[in-house]
Amino acid sequence: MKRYFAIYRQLLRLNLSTLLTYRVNFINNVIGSVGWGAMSLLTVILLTAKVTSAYGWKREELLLFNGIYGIILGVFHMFISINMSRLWKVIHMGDLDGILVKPIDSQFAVSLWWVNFSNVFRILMALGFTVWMIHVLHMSISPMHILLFVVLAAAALVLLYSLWFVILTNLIWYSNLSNLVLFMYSFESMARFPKEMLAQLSSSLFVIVLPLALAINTPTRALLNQLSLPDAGTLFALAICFWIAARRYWRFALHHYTSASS
Amino acid sequence: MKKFFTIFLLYAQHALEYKARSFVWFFVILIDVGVYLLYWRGVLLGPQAGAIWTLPKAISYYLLLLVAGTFLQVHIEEEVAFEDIQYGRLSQYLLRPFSYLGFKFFQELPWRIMQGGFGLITLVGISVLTRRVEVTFHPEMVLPVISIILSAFILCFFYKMIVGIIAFWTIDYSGLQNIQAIIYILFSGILIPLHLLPEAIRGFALAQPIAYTLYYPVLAVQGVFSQEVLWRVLGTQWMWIALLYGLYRIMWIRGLRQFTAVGQ
Amino acid sequence: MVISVSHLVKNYSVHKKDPGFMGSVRSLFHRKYETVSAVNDVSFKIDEGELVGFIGPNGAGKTTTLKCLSGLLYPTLGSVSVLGYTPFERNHAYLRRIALVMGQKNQLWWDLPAAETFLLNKEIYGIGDLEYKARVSELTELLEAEEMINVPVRKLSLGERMKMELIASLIHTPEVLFLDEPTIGLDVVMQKKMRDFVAAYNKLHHSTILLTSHYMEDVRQLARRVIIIDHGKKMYDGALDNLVKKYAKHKLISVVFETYVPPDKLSLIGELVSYSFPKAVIRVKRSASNIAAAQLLQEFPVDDLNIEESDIEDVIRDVFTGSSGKA
Repeated sequence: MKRYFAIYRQLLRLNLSTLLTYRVNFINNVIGSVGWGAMSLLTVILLTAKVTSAYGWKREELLLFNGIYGIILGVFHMFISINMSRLWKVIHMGDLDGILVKPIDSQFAVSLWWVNFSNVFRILMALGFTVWMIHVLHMSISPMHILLFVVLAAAALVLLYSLWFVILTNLIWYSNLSNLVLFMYSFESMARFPKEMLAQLSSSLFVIVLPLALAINTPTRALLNQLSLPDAGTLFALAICFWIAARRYWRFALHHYTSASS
Repeated sequence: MKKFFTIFLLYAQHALEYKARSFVWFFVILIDVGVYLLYWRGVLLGPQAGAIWTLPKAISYYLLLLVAGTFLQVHIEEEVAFEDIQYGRLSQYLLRPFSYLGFKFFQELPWRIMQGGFGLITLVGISVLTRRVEVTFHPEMVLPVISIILSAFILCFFYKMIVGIIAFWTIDYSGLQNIQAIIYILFSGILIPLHLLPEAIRGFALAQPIAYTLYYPVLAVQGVFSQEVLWRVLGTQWMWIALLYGLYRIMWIRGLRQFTAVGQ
Repeated sequence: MVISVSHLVKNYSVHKKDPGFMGSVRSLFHRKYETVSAVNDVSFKIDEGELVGFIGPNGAGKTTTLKCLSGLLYPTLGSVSVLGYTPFERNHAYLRRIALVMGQKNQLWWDLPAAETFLLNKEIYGIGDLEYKARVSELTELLEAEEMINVPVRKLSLGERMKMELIASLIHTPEVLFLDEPTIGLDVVMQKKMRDFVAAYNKLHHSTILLTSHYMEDVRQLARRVIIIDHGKKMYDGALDNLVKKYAKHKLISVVFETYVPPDKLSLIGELVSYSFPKAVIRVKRSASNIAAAQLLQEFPVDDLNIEESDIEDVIRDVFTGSSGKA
């Protein structure tokens, strides 16, 4: 464990050094992440422009919901999705070879190698928006609420990561499906909407989107002092199940890794 | 013309070989459209319905948008910007005796047909199963509607080519790529029908060229326009096509000078 | 025995499509797959400290074999053991004792000096500070690369980058080294430096090295033993000198004449490879080389005569093209 902390500390250093080398790239990445963060908020602002409530949520609560979505997804995009979007290239070009011959957990390496620091701005923007919506809703937030929120948000992050990883592990067999990452961005964006909206789907479809339905919903409910224990329990259970599935599936997939021609 | 048909067939093979990619692209649009439809379903079944929109109209709009998004939404700009200009593959095209624009057009076409096919099958399936797709059909509108659809494809193609060749002047295109993707989602009607946008931006949104790539064709197929309006929409599309083509030519000539003088 | 490979087989399933648009349409409904045997029943053993050349034409199965040995690929059949470990289990204790260097692959962080990647590898391999400093110092001295480790990798030439790749791969002092075309694309000076380094490293650390290369000079200078592989099958395994004796069908007779001899008369002895008076080179069948030499001495005014083996590259080319048969 200590060794992995040391490795990750070094990776953070290398990522920061790379960032400082290419400042134009950093600015472009900031434009991208802030742009998409703003677009996410704008989506809900426009969709709710003519309604005062939807699915049992007041408009302001929906906006708060999306502020929290921006924070959690901002953290996800900073540490995880940048690696996921490079995974197809790592596999397709055979760069996974260099990782597999090293004495390091390969899932750790492919999942955490890169860090997209530009998402700090997206997180700050979402945090500011969330704080403002808390003020608009005249909510009082206690340290307990924040702790609950952080714990549930961490579980949501584990769940989202595991979901992404299980699906993108299929790139071992279908390495030309580079747009699978775009599918995941689209699929994950369903988490912007409350569980009650997604519950309109037929039960077989709802089961598929259940992880997304709970990922943002549950931490937001905790902050609004409306936490549902069954939902929290389901979130933790799904996070653990998908985590185990991700690890097992990746190990199974590596049996079928064919590398790339030299 | 024969060489362009050969290019079309070659990339049709490519599209068939990588049909799984097309299927994934289709799913991306399906999810985007499906989520917005799901949202409106709940809202429009509530007490605020009617004042904003009706559910049958919303279902028709988004399902037709699904087909339009798969068939008409061109994705050539990334390849033009990253592969051809920034990685220098444009040189291969410049050495050959045919138009780069023509090559890209016939390269993109098979992908649109394949993905549009997925969209059409979904639309027909849902229409037959649910009978919730509202389309008003008049035989005399067929010609202008089909013309609008085909013109929308050409317009989107020129727009995306212009977006792509901006890479002649940028060091890193990715920031611009993100901005244009956001603008397109907002102003094409994918996120929300343009007539439902706030008044402050509605006028601009309805007049700008991106609206004529998806929004107006979807409304044309829905049958909400009179014949006169249809011809006016078609006329406006061709006005934008002419303007964008002219802009493309100017940018292409200047960009090429930049490319061959400096390289990338 | 450090490396033991027994009846190794690695097959791939490859999709075959008929050409043309109709071929693509047919492929939609009925996909044809073909099994390609990249490695087909290969067996060999390598002892500690050996430096073995692993050669073969493109697509022979050399890299696939190396990847099976380093644990990247799972064999279809057969068994592989390196340092007592089964490579594809990817035991971390095993991975700490080996290194795989691929000439066309890059593990260094492109925008940063190589020293940064060395520090990352230091953490990955769990190398202590003192040991790390000693290793970097030793390797940079051997490779004459002290000035380069703090230059961003993207600014280095190919040869310099290759040096940095080697240092990054050897920083943990592996006991077994798999080198996959390490000199590819390098100029002749850099190729020699690489060869000198590999030889020195092998001598210094008594490490076991399996080297693949398309450059015969690499094999000639470094390897006392070669394994030839073609179409996934092992064609030869033994000393380089014996390879010539086993597979060379011809010998070359170099002759220096006192007076001019017409070339058509020399063609009766054997194949005239080159003739620029007074020197001629004639290729004759291996079994008939003594008779040919005697004939030349009897019938022509010979000043000097030398019988030489065929060039090793010609011999190996004959092995690859299947035109050898044994001599």
